Amino acid sequence: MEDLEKVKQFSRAISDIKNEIRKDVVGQEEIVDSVITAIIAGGNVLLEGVPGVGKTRLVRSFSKTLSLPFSRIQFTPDLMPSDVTGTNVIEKDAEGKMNTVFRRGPIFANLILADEINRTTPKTQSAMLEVMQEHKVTVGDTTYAMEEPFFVLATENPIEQDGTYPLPEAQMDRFMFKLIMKFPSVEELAAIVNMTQITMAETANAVVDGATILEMRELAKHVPIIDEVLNYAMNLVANTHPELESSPEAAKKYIKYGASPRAAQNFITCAKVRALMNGNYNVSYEDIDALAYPILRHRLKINYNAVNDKLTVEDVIGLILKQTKKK
Amino acid sequence: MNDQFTKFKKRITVHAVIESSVIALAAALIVVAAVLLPLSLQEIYLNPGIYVAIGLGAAVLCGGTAALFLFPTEKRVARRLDKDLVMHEKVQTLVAYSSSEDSMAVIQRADTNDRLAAAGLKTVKFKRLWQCAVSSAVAVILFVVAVVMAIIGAPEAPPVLAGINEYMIVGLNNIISVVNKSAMEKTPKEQTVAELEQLKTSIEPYVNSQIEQEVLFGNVINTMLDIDEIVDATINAEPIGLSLRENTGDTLLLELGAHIASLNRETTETGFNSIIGTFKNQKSDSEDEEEAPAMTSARQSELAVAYSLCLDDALNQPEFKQVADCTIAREIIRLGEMFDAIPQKITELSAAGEADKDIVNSIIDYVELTVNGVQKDADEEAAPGIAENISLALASQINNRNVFNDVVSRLQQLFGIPDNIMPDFGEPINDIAPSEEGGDSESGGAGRGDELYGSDSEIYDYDEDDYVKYGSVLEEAMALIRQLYEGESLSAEDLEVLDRFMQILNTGLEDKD
Repeated sequence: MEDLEKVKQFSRAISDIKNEIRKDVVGQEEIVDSVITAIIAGGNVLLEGVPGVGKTRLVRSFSKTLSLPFSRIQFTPDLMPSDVTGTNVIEKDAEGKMNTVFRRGPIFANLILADEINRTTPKTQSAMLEVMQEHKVTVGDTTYAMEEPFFVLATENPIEQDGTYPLPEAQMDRFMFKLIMKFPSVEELAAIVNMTQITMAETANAVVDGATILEMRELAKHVPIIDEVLNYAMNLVANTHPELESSPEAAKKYIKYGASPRAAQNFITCAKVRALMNGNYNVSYEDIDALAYPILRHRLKINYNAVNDKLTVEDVIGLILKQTKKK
Repeated sequence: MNDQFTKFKKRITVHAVIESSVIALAAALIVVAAVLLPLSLQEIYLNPGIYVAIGLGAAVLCGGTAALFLFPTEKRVARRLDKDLVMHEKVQTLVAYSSSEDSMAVIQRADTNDRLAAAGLKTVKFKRLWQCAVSSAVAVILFVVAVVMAIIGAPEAPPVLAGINEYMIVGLNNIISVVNKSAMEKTPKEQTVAELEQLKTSIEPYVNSQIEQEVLFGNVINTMLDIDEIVDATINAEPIGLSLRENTGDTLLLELGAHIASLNRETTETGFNSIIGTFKNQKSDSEDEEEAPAMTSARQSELAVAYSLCLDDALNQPEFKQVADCTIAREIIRLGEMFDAIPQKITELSAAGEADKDIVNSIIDYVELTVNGVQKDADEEAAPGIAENISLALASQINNRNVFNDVVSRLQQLFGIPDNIMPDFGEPINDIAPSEEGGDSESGGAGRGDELYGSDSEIYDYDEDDYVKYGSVLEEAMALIRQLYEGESLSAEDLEVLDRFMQILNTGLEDKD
């Protein structure tokens, strides 16, 4: 009964979060759902979108709704790792003694917006990505753990590619999802304009807190998944590897290298969260299919054949989906 | 297991059983048709049991295989329900985690149970319904075509043959002899013998060979029917009796007609006595005859007139006029004339000054003498009256009918004709001769006492310790001889000796003259 109550609370929390986010973010339903999924699943998101589509506003709204401290890091080419993580500084105390004090960097928050992460140097990128992966920072001899839930939403600007440092594939793999934030429709634009004429500030209210998020994360782990669906997800990941005998024709023809085992883990973790978010108590094929694009699009490298055939990575993922059998 | 899931599983199992059965049946029909059609086109015809075995084998093989594939395991049922009811793997998860005690698994089961209940059993439709229907129809059509082709091409069943042996000729001669010695009237006797001779002539060419049994039986039965027609033509008692029964208004005349029509001599005599009795006594309301008023001549005259009028109605019927020349008809006419004469006699006697009582007695004497006959002289035989003449005529007709029944029985036994194809000729008439003074009584048979045709005469059987009919003993002996001859235990010479012996037994009473 207690667990049933928790499940009902989960559903209510999701509904409340979405309602509050809608107050500040127009449209982008899929993005909002995916971000909620990633937060509950404990992953990070790479968001690609042109400037002004509401990336910062989105994270800020989540911060308010989830009652979690928010931090925005604007990445520039001259940003140093210590600018992200923090550094030790020497300070004179009240007695006049010189002491080493650790000044925390902007990374010390629950929700981080890492804006234009591809504009900073690989060194700074690595520092950022290490924190994303480990949820802790080591400065000198001291290791500082991040407070849970810890979520990073990194952005990439697809327009200004000159002078940028594209994330290497190995680093891209650390992101649970890559989401594409599209330009809003005319109706959505009109709604945005009308909303922001009144106030630019986010009006979302807090409805849950970090502890609730952690409870939801724990609850989602218990959602059952049958072997057939599990194997389907595993086959989907395996089928992105052209070097395997069993991979389909599309993989062999269009993929240079496929997704890592981390993608398989992300599939199952996120599928359980998604199932629960939709009011289901089991993982289905539909959950896996819905997560295929956000999980795989940044993990696959298509080859020249795909370019030649004018296929994008999205098209190749579609082919893989069609050619992977469900039992 | 979840109760809703169990219900759905049962329903799907029933569907699978039906499908497997249809597949088994269709396979059986198609395989049999596939074997039957080419073989029948090649005019090769196998025992039907082989086709049954082939069909059964195909049914078991295909039906069993189908059942294996279609048999709904829990996994298959779950998969089907998820697909048909768009449950997104809920039912499969329910089955996979059916024994899990994890709280989420418990919640998942409960939720799935509710969704199944909401969906309802009827949402699971019979899959492949039209495929089953089409395949069954095709199988039936193929099978019917094959069977029709086989039947059209199948050779006709060879006719059943019957062996013709000399014993049959001997038997026919025996029957002819029996008829000749019988009390049958002359004309029907000659005609009956002619029919039997014709039958003998028709089968003599086939002695010691075979003919179609159907032809043999047909010939014998046709002979019986012809003789039946001959005998029927002699039975004029029936139309006369019916004419009386249905056209007179008088109860006693009506009853007399019924007795005559049924060829019953004893009751016919009783009927005449009843009529005579009405001229003797008047009826009374009291049962005591002594209280009845005394008969008068006037009453007798009334009776006679009434009888005459009633009789006239019968005598004028076409069915009576058709047989008016026969003895019975003439005697009935004579009866009518007697009734007509009574009023005149009464008038004459009354004019002669006779007392009424004497007139009454005179009329009674007249009626009795006319009906029952008069003995003119003690040394002479009594002149036959109406009743006796009719009785004698009935006796002849009864004889004709009984001889015919005997001939039919013998022919049936001689040729082994089964009862189910024999026409119904009715039972022999159990004739009881009316009592008459000085008349001969005879035991058995319907003859005139000194003529026997053998069948009904009785002899003492020591084994049975009882009297048995002589004819039945002969028939048993003849049947045994026939068996021995057909079993080739007797030679032709032996058969000839036995034939002569049987002839002697049957015709031993033949008059030397």
